[in-house]
Amino acid sequence: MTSASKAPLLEVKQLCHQYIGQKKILDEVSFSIESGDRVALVGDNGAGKSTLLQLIVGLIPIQSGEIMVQSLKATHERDFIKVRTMIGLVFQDPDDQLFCPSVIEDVMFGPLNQGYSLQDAEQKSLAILEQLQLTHLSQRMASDLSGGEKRLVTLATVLVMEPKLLLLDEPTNALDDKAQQRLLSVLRSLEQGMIVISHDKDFLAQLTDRSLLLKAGKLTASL
Amino acid sequence: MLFLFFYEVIRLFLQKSSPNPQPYNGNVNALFKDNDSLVSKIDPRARIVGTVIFAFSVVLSDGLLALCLALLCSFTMACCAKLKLVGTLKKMAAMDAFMLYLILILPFSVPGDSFITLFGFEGSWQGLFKGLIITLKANAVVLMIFAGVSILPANVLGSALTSLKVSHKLIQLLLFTMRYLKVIGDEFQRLRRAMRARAFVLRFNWHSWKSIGYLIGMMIVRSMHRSERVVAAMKCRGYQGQFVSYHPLSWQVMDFWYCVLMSLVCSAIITLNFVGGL
Repeated sequence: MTSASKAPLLEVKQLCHQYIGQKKILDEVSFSIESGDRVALVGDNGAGKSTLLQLIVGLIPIQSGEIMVQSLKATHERDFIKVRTMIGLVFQDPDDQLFCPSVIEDVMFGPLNQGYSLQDAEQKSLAILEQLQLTHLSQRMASDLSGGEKRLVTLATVLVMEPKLLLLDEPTNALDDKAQQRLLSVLRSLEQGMIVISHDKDFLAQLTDRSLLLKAGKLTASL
Repeated sequence: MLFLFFYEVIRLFLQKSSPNPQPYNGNVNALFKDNDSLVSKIDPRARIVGTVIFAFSVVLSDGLLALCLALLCSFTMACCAKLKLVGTLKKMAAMDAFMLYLILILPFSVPGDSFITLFGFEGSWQGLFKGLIITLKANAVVLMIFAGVSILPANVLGSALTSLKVSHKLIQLLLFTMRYLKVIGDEFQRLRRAMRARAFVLRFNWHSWKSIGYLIGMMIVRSMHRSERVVAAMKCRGYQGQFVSYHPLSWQVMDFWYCVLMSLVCSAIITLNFVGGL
């Protein structure tokens, strides 16, 4: 085994964050995720859960603390560009994530940015749509899809980049029972590790192995 | 003209979201096909450049004969592009309703030989003529844009504009407008409904104007926030400030002849301005 594979997939050390004029939203938060771990991230509204996920992929600049992804210490934007190919963030609102005229193009967007050729990107995208049983949606426009379909398509757009860890920000938001069940079975079939933010206790219990509680800026393990 | 162009492209884009789309057949080229017309076989770059040159030569022309020829060319092009008759006519009618105002107003604002007197105002032949000229120009240009450019799918338009060295920022603005116009429109409707749910009725008073002002302000704030989230989501998928242009463009002999034909047509239109006295 190389040293890289021994290191945890994601290690966060003493991460702090404070928005201007507000209390510290994250206060020396530390945790680590091994590959294949499925972790729930719970906490009240405004506790800083989404902020934490965005810090991990470098969408918000780090104020203090460390983020290590497979022993790569990420500090600058150029590090985070690499990090983002390993860690896929699925946003709360699918309309923020889907911006192409058709679903297939949206799925191809990531692989093309990773430098795959048009044919390869298309192959990969079709394969992932097939895996999620979404092939029939490939020519549809994102704004025409139902909430459940949009959610699965955003998942496809991230999965196609073959991340090792998925960050899901309230994936069950505004989904009906049927769509939730479908999402759950899709997520359970994936081998990737994931951090899931959700307020739905049943959903989390069926999907995750352990949970982290974010309260007053501090992160604690909870059962 | 530019506004009309964007307006039409956006409208056509929205129309593309038909309720029963064709299933994806696994062929990447199928993504980039508009329809099976003669025009669709011509390289998108040639079509864009041809349309721009045509538009300029028409806008700068003032001869009746030249403009009739231009309209004829646009009409021919529209036939070659297999535009849908009813849809196109509807859109043209929307524009021509606006042109009708011009024809009604211009006789009274342009000085010349009077042919009618209404409420003491004299309508001039010259004004009427001017109105007709403008109407002809607008119809010729817009029909050509319909036939040449607006049937292009969004991604092809983006790729073609990229290879024509149009600024990336402008292309992105265009593509994002296409995608998010509906989202913003929906958001407007949602806010508007929420206002109505609290018994708001638009009247001609200060409260109404202020509330509508707030509504528009909130739309701008929300759009800004959304744009920040969209860019963040794109960054997460490896976006580094430039779109990967992936529509395979290939220049063929046919495109060369199309450019030659368009140049000849434009030259003919310009020349006709100087002959015949019309």
